Amino acid sequence: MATYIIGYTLIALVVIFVIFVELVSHKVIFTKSPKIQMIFGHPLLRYSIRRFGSAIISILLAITATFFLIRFKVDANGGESFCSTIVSTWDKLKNQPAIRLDLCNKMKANLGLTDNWFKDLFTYFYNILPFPKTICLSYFDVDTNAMSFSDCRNTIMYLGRAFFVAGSNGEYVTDLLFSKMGISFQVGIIGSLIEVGLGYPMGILMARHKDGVFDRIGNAYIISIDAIPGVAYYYIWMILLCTLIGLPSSYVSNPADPMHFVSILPAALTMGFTGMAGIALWVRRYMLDEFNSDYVKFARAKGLSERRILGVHVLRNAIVPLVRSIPAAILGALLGTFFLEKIYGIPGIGILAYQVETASKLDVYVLQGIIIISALISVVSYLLGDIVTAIIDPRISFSDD
Amino acid sequence: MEEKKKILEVKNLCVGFLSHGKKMNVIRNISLDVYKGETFAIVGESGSGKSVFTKTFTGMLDSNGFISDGTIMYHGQDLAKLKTMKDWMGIRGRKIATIFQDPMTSLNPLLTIGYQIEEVLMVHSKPTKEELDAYKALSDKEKAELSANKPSLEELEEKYYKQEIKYLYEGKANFIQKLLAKRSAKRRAKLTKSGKPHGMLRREATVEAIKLLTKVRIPQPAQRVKDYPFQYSGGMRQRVVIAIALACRPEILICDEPTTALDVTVQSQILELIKELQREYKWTTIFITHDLGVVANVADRIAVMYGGQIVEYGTAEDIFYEPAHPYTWALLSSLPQLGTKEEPLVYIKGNPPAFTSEIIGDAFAIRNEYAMKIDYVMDPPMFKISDTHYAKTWLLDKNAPKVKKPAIIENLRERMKAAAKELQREEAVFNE
Repeated sequence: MATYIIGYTLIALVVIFVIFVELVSHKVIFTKSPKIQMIFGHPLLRYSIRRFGSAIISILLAITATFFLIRFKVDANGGESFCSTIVSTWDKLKNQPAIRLDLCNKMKANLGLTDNWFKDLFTYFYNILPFPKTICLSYFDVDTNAMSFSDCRNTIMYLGRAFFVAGSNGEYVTDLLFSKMGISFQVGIIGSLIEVGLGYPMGILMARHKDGVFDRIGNAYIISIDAIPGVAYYYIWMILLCTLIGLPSSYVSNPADPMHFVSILPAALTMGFTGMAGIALWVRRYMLDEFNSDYVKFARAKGLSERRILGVHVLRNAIVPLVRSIPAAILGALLGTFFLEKIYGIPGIGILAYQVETASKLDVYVLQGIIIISALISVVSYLLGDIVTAIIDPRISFSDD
Repeated sequence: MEEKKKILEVKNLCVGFLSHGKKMNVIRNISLDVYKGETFAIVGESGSGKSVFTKTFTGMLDSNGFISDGTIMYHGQDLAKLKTMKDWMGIRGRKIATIFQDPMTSLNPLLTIGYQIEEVLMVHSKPTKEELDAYKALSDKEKAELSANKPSLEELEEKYYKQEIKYLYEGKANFIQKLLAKRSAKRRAKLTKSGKPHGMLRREATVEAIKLLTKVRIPQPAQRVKDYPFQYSGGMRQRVVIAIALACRPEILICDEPTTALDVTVQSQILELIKELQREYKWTTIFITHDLGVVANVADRIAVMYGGQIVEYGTAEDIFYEPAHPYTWALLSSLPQLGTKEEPLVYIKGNPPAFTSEIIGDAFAIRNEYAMKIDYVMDPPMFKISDTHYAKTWLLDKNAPKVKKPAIIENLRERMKAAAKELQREEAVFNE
């Protein structure tokens, strides 16, 4: 019940807000109140709403495309290869094709896969569109020939269930993804913070003392990161951090254990130290560009100190092209990286995606869930990137005229 | 002229640049004086070294440039000896300010106009360490005396409050704005009353910035102070740049081709503005330009530069009525204002000398139709024509043949004035 009330209230609020913004920005209501015009009629707000609206359409298109691709794989060879993976007695029942096909169909029905692709697609759309609904699923286990479980859940977004990924016996895909994303995010966010926290000062210092000792060392580091393949680099860091310094090289899953935080550090540090090279490279480059500009010369002629010119004038201009990628870096942390998680044994979303792809049994809904989440993240992070850039750079406007 | 005080004395200045391991002498042995309060113009083609020359006054040579010889005396201090950033901090911006050529790029695109003016005011008003130490050394009694001389706290507060409302909100403030103004006035009054040396507060600087914008005739300054440079036109931006220079309160203002990037009508407005503000603030202007038309309007004295040397200098009258150097003649003859419809424009053939090889003799000789044999062998000395007028050409030597200057530059000033009038008349017709 609570899901319904909260869900519909939220939807109503969003709809009212969007309509209000559109009316205000088209100067239908509150034409005489400059404050409301300024806040709700802000071009950036309207731009964000429209951009998000069009993003939803492109996400739905992406889902449709991947849905059909997956179904092609499921129904390839008349569905035989898929059936052989999900029905354990498929080979034994070689002589009774009718029975084994019946079993396979029952198994597929459990998963919500019928013969009608379009019907399935619309059911899937109904399930994932964010409004409150009750989803019931009964799972008939063909091996034991008994009802395995049957339950209902009130939910806003139903992404299906996971059956074949290791240790996920009928778990909701949303739950599975969120738990995995949580793990990846812990690593990713610490890693991105190290990346940004070290990369920016490094780039600034390198630009400040161009051709100095620090600049040379920094350049050497950047070039070496670029030159050595990523995986090799990760292993070098693992040897440094785990073997030489003695940080734990395997993941401690219990969050209450104090070693839990320590055990994600090597992965986060590896990510941070690697990623900071790229950031430093661009910060240095853009800052050097700005150093030669006329307004810096004029700022010098005004009698400002070099420190002030660097901090207030140069840095601000240099980061305009860079801030766009910051939301992507932070939200991208949710998706994890396969190599890092593989090397340090972190059961994050990178590993999950890998498992789904390589498992002999295709876990349809987990795969689609990952696709939806990554599409959503990239859309949102680009939108946020645009907004952040607009906040920093007053020259960017989103008005139609 | 004698009673005028010298503000800047340049003696035998040489500037070199290192490029690809080679040394190039870009400024070759310049000596000249600039007097307090005058407008001094430096004229020359592109590449004659006029910008480089003035950059030495503020220590803003590019990193591969250096002063190889000579002195620049300014208030008993040799600017040619200053090396570090710290040495320059007291001079650059505070005493000698510069306005650059292109107003479109001189302002930081991401900061408001107001901030860019306030920044200068706040940074420059910061008390020096000595001032703070002197205040700290005062006894309590002296401190009390210091604040006793000031008006009462309430009076100051009232004054500051009124000022903020008047300038920041143009007299119409709402409840919150009044509250903000009251708070900042209180803070400011307390600081002033204590007598402690302090820098300008942010809102105080904003008020000052609005006053400066009014000075340079930006309409509705209280609103425009929050705008960004991209919302301003080129002429308006140059006004803002001038306002920033005003905020510096310099003794010497170097204008490095301040009107080159602007169109003709805006040019004259900006020149007029600079002249007017100079009268009010009594600074010395050093004008760098390649446009003699601009110079004719503003300059008291003119120096003509060629190939890193000053070839002729004198008062505006000297240069326009009695030009003595063939290069000056050539420059004046090629003024487009003097062109007539039937005849092609006069121009100086050839290019200015490159600095990559040593220049032997007179640098202008190869382009000079009056050149004599000696010009290719020996660099001419500065010949004195009158107390104010000097030129560097062998033609002034007593053994030289007498040559007549080109007819086109006779009665130059009258004709330029006539040309200017003609232009104004045409504009008036156009505007109608």
